Amino acid sequence: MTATSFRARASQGATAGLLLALFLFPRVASNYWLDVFTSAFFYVILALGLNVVVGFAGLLDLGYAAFFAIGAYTTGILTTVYHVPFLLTVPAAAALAALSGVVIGAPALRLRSDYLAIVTLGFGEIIRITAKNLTLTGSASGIYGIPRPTVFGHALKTQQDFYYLLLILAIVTYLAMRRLEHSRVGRAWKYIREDEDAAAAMGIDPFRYKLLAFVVGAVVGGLAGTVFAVRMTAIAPESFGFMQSVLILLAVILGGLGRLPGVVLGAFLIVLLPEAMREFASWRYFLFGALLIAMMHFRPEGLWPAGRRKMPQSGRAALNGGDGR
Amino acid sequence: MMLLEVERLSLRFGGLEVIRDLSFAVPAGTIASFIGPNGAGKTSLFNLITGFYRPTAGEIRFAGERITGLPPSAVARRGLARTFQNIRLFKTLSALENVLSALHPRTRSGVFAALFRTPGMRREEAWAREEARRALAFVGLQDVADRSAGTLPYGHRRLLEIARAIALRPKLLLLDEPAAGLNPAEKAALADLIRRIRDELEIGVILIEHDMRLVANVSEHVVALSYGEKIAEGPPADVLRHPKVVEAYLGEEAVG
Repeated sequence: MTATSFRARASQGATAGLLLALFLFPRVASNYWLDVFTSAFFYVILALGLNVVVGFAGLLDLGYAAFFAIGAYTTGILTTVYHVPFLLTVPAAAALAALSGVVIGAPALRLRSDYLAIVTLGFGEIIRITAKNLTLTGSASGIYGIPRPTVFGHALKTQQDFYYLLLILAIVTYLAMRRLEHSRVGRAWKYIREDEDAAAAMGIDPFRYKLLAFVVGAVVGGLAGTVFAVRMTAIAPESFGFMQSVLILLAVILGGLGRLPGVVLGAFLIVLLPEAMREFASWRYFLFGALLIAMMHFRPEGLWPAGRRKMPQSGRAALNGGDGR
Repeated sequence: MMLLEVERLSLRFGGLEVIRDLSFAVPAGTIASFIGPNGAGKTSLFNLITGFYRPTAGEIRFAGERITGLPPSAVARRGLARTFQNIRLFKTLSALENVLSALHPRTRSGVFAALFRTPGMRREEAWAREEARRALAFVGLQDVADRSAGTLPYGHRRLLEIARAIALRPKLLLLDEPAAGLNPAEKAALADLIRRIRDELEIGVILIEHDMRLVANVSEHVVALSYGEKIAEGPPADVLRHPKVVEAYLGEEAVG
């Protein structure tokens, strides 16, 4: 057996062991920890979606929570006001998220990436403030009483039901992202990220693929939003603010930009670290922030990066004080 | 038939005239060279032809079609490939993945094909990899297919950029100073490669080159530029001896 195949087998074994542990976890865990892990799976999905935009295509999106909000509100409104069954709201939410991805992306992606960051930041705030002011979206108090979903005849009610639902969705998202990454489309994104001019000289239209990355990211965020709505049964504008977007971006960057296992690790860290530091009470976000700054200083490529890789230009400027590496 | 026709082309950046009223034509199947001192506008001309710059005035026709103002990706899809003066590879990706970028226009699998790994997508992927390996083998880089481009030695990176460009199956290949930084043996191999690209792949070649021996050795047609204007055009033997060309390179006193 060669060294590489041994390593491949070892990592396959570790993955299988980890998945088994996650599937058995509800047998031993308290409801509190089930809830924490369900949130972690949730952030895994969101971070994987944002990773298409930031990691694969190298674009900085500071308003990703907007797509998450669009998915959540679509499901929230359709189920409570129009009594549409949950599963039928899913394609509607995906379509609406995709559409908003095009509407925001089409003008913004023609600009330099720094402007994209500003436009997406603005878009995120517009969505949140709109949700806060419309009666349809329940204003500041949001939407409550979202019915618990029935998926293929099985009513999802307990903590454990949602744990499994999100675990499975996170795995499916991960596998889908892996297939995308190693496809013609995934390569086109990487070419553009590495050198946009060289990609264009090979006949790849950078704008078209950036827009596609934006839309794919939006759809994943929208789908996560629908599940968020039915899990929480209540949604409010403050769940979709700028800090939410930043937190998801942190998950992507923390673990290792563009590399899928790193993104999963990052998502777990942003959920588990604040939990682990709970005893420090209001100090915990301070500690969390200090930890992030330390990490960006000592490991700017992330905890589990893909070889040596450049961060997107503006992302690097924003996070490293502009001097890069 | 003329493959590339440039008519009364001008490019101005503010007050700076980079290209001034330039006209020339390159027949199909020719190896041609653009020569001229630094700052003559050769690379700007490449950027104009490949759509990276928009001309202030004038027209560019490729295979009879007007391509002025088309974006770079559209120009590439019409059969115009290029390399860059300062080598622009996708550094963290493997040599094979670099060449695969050029197969993009000739393949079509999208997001859904990738998610469901359709049989069509898998066939296309296998075909593209085969085609990319052929392009690597053509320049002699078959053994480094899986190495990341950034780790290859300089000479190999130059070759890899050429492999990527020919994998596009262009009608015309623009090489921006392909011999820069190569040793004499590598330059001789490059001259052979350029001839093989034209003879075996039937791709026309235009090179920007400062090595006059290489220019005289491989090209059949030379366009000489100075300060954005054409000062001579014709067979290399005539152009390289042309008084204006000698003057442009050596300065007036040397001629005087």
